[in-house]
Amino acid sequence: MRRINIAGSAKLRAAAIAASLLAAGTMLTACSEGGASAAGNSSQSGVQTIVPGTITIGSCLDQPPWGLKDSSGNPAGFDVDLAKQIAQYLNLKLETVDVTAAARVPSLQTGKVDLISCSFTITPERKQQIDFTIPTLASGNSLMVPQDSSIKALSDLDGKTVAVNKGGTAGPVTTAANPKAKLQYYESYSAAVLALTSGQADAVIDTSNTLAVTAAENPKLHIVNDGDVGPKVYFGLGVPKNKPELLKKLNEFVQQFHASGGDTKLFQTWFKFTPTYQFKDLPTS
Amino acid sequence: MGWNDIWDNRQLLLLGFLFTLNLTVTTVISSTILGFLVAVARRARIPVLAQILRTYLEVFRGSPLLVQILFVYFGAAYLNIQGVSVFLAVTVAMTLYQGAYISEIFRAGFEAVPKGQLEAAITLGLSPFSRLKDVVLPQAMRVSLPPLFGQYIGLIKNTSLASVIGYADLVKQGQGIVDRFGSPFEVFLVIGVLYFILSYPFSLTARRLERKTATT
Amino acid sequence: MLLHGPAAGFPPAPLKPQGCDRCTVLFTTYLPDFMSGLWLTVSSSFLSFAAGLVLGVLGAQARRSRLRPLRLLGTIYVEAIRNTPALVQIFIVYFGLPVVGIRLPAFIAGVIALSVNAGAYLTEIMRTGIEAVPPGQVEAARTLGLSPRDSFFHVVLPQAVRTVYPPVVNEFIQIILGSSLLSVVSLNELTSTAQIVNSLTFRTMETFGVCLVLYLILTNLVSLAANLLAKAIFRPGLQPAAITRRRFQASTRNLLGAETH
Repeated sequence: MRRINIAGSAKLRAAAIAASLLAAGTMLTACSEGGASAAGNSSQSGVQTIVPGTITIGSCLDQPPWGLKDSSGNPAGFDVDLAKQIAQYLNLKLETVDVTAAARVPSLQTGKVDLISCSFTITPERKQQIDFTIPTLASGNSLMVPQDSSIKALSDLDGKTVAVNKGGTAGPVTTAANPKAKLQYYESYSAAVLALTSGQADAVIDTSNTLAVTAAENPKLHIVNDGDVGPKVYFGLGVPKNKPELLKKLNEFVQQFHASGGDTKLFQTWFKFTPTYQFKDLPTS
Repeated sequence: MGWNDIWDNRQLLLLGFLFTLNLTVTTVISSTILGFLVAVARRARIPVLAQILRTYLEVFRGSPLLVQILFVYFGAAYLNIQGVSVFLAVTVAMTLYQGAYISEIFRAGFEAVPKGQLEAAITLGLSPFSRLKDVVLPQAMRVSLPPLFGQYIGLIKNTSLASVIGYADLVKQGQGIVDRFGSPFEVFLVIGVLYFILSYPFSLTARRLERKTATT
Repeated sequence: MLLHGPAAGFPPAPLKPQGCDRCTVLFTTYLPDFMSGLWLTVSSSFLSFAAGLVLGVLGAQARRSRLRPLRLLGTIYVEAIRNTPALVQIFIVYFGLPVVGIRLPAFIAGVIALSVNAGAYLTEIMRTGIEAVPPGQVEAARTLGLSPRDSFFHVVLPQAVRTVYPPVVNEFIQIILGSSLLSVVSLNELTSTAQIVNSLTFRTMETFGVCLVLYLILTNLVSLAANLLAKAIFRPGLQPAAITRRRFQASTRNLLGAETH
């Protein structure tokens, strides 16, 4: 810290103090950044994480089979297993954090998680806030109704109520599919399904794989429109902006995930049917 | 049919209960401290401070807690403030919200102390700090305690809003059970009973305090 | 049903974020949505308040009744509602009742839940108000030859109304704030609208800021209207000369948890 020649006036003194504090602050930050990256490097993966040696991954544990809590209350599901594979690939310990759909972007922005693995649709809106890896999965959106419903096609949704997840993309998808449908927004996918099963809503629209599992488990529900509600969408892993190292490593992971066939295997484990859209033909950039 | 499932999942409910308790205790402490400080600060009658505090009270008592929670949580994300967990966001919002109401309780408590008491204290030459600590405060507290406990009951119930942004409290655990096993009516009824068990003792205590400190 | 907003193409076109035209985009594009959300907030609050008042009067009568079962019913009602969160009550009405065959749309379910909730607090407020009228008043009225009915309506009630007026107005404001919980059961009132607009535009500060300001305007309008009404109908005015300890306790007795719920 350079010695500053302080003249008599108070203003100058204040400016001097401010300048020296700024200088000290900058140096301290530089030191700590260097320290953090040193710790990160020691993990052999070369990526900086919030907690050195551990990767904190957010998954939505209220959306089976993407994310759920098993009978002992531990995280499980497709996205959680994907997180486990990521941690293994990066040679880091895994810490799973439960996030709601609406909290996915905020938790990345506030640095509460290193990445999001939670059926995360890639949209231009979200790309302004965070970064995505190359797609992990392709999906469509489906329409699910009770077995005895009179709804047989998207056009039957005129004036009918459709329950959707507030924090997801289902709202705009529904309106695009049938502007005359009445939207009911809920805090989670499970709440939307509850609305359907309790008769509060006539239909649910969400991503095809999610609905397929729900319909398979609940004989009172069935899928009317498999994957055709709106255009094809892609899921990706979400990371905060300005993390090029992490993004690069994750893209490498996704590439080998597809190349090794691990994607189909993991899908079969959790969904027990072939995905609506295959894993081939996914864009690789 | 639903009752068996609820009983099987009692550990999850216990976990939710503990999370609720955690949030409750934290917020009771923080909001009481904040409310007290605000009430004392308002007595000091510093113009700029008084105005700021009045605005704070207006804003936080005139808007819903849920909106405040959403504002803090998503606002922190928007401003890229690091390290704001769901728990922290809810605690901050609830502290500010309950703190506003609690400061009004303390203020009314202060004003309920007869002016003569303060005048006598000044005449006796007590310092402002001692006046507050030894004369005003004990009398104000006796009066403030019952409505303060009433606030705490409201606080316990308000913690249920934390479930909306994903905090794993009683309500969220209940939703998880409904998710897997259905029976929303039974499950939410049980959740209600659990909150009742948590809150009713406060209710009884508050009423006892009311009777003990009554002058009418 | 949101999206008076931008044309419903998906994915929605990103909104340009520069300068203050971003504020105007928010306001011009989504203002109709906020207004319809505001309307749902106002209408559900008004209806809940009206129904709650009825429940409050009935509940106060029940709690003061000579019949023990009625008194018990009143006590159970008040204690059960005041010691459980409004959110859980709303879930029971909206998601729980369909299990026993009663399926109510979000608005009606919400109003019922809020009314029942407010009714419990209003019961206590009314009961306190009636009991705060000195018994000497009733005695004097009877001595003067007034019938029980007349002495209630012309002696007790006017004095009770003076006592209950501030807490009743406060309860109305609490109902308005409580209506924000209806966003969780798909009613597209103000809070829900803000959440949806936020998830579409990611303009958190503007969206929730607008939402907050609208609530502040609403609650302040209610306060103002209440003050004007009080000036018009209460002679002499309502403000006590000084808040003595006795008056403070009298006014807050039985109102445990009345401030926030």
